[in-house]
Amino acid sequence: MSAVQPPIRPRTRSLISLVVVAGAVAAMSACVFGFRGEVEFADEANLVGLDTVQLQLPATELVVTGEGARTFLDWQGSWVSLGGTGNDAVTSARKASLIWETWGAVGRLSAELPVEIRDITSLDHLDVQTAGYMAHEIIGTGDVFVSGIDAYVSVDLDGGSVEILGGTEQLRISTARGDVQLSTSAAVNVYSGIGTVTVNAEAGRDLIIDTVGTVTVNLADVDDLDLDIEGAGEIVVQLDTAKHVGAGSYRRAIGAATHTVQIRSGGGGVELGMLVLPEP
Amino acid sequence: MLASAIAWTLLFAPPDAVPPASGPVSAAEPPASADDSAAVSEPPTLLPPGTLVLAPALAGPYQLFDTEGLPVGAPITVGEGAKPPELQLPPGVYYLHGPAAVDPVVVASGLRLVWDGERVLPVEVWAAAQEARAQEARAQEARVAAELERAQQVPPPSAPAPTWRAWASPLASTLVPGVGQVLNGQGYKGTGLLFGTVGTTIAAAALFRLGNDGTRPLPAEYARLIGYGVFSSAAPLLWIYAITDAYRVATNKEVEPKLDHQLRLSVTRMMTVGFRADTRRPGFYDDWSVSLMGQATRRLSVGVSDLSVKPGGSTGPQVWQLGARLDYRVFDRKRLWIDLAAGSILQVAANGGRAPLDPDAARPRRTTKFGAVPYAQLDLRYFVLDRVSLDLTPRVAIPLTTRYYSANRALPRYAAELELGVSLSTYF
Repeated sequence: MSAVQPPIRPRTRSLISLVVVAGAVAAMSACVFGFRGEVEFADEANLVGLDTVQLQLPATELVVTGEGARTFLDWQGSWVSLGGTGNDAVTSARKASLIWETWGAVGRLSAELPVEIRDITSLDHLDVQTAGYMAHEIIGTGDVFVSGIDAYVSVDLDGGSVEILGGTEQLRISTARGDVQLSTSAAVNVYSGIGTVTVNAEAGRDLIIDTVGTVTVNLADVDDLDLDIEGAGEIVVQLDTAKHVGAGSYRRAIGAATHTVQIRSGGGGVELGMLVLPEP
Repeated sequence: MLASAIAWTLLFAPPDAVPPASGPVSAAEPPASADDSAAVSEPPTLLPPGTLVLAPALAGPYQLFDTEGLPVGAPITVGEGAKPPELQLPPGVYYLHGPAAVDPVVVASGLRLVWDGERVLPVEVWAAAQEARAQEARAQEARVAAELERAQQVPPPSAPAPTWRAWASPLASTLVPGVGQVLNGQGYKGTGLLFGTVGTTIAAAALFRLGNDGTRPLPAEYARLIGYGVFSSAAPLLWIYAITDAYRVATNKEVEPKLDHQLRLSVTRMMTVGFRADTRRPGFYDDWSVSLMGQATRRLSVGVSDLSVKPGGSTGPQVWQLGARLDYRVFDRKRLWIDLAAGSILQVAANGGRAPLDPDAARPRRTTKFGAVPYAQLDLRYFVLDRVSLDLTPRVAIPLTTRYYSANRALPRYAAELELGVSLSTYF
């Protein structure tokens, strides 16, 4: 083992250099060669007799639009899958599907992905037209935009931003990471692991907000509030019924204090202002 | 030798020289006594005598004879290291009987010649040769003396280091990379390892936390993922190097890779960066695994490789992975080994399927899929201890079925992959 080894010959040295350079080039070009295949789809389902619609989806960009008296749920979107060849990618995308099921008054739209394509296929986008009077529960990952739904809306995301326009009953949003923007008359319960939250409250309802980031709340009705702000950075309150500038926490009851405004911003700034509603 | 003697004779003897008679011989030093001079008969010619210096390497008694076999003068004893005797002789050819052999010698009129035991040559040539030999001997002595002095100045390579360092240095580098090197007196190296390890760790963490919300340009996102892969691999490698190097230096040992090992255990992280179905979010694909390779012959190893389990979480498939590999070492010089290997990963993916909405309905049966990923790879192994190496492994693979990585990532069949692996290997 410890015997003196003969010197490396020039040819051997060249071979070693070649091998090392080849290895370095391969290392620098760690990559994958393949194709994407896309398949579009559209379908519908009957909503008669149902009360709640669940959308349990893989990661996607989801747009949900409510219309007052619809009796059908329509959806359109596209699947994208990967393959070593173009045909293989399209074949994989065709194996994916959305399944509509009902049980009692609950209907659910969810994805069916065979195990061999599960981690190489994504729902590129999905547009859903639904009934505005029905409760909706959305579970998934990715950005969600909801409009025109008056009833209860729940959004539960592993990550992604949420924007909701409308709503009169209750909005419950939970996202691991993402911004939340709401313009609603409904009661609001928002949690975001990290992200900004903006709420335009068009009516006097309870607002509970928990995030790590900046919070902006614009209120239309400010005569009956229980303000409870904690863990904030800078606090700016410019309501018709209360003015305040500070940091950390702020607690104040206005009027009968029946509508709770509870904000936890994890060190982010909090700004409360007046919402100017357009003339009817 | 005889030819050279005759040539000298012809060169120096006068044309009319005659062979010497069995005549007188006289030593130049000490000078012949008056009685001796009287006993010597006159030479038959008037040619002046020549001088022959006897300087053989072999000491002992010598006797000179003329061409007729008659002794010339008394026996002469040549002593070792003594001044060589000089004989005054009539020109001619003589035979010198020594302790080992009989040699012909030539005496030329009026010349001083030397017999050095092998040949007769002018005394100036002999003296110059003697001087050259003496100079060479002196130079050799000087070289030996210098070598001896150098050897006394350089401490022996295996001088034992303090025993506490053998465990304290690697322990210190385990707790804080580079501190073991500082204990060993390698301050610059220790500082470099400390900053290198901490820096790559922070860089990897920062790049990981950057995340991807889908708004970052694709080149920047690819750069982030590649950077994350490089830094998150470099950090543990530097740390392991700091620990093993601290031990090696503390014990003052040279690294001699274990060529005749029987078993190699490797922990490997293979990784690549590539596309995903989501066009805005490329993927970082990595796969931690364990390999157990047995050395069948001096250069050939075979064994089970790529052993790992991927839990899959709540939505992804659960994957069990194993493989087989053949590995041939094409180069092993000092601390660097280069292996060429080929093998195949085998994957078993199982998934329970989507739970039905109806809570009373039966859950779909568990589906199981088998997969294979043949590959070829290059192993560059750098030994940090006799039985420990850090490896860099570029690999090319073509999955025959969907290939699953950790974190619910997968690549499709037939999609060629270039991967980079880093490993820690131990040899038994």
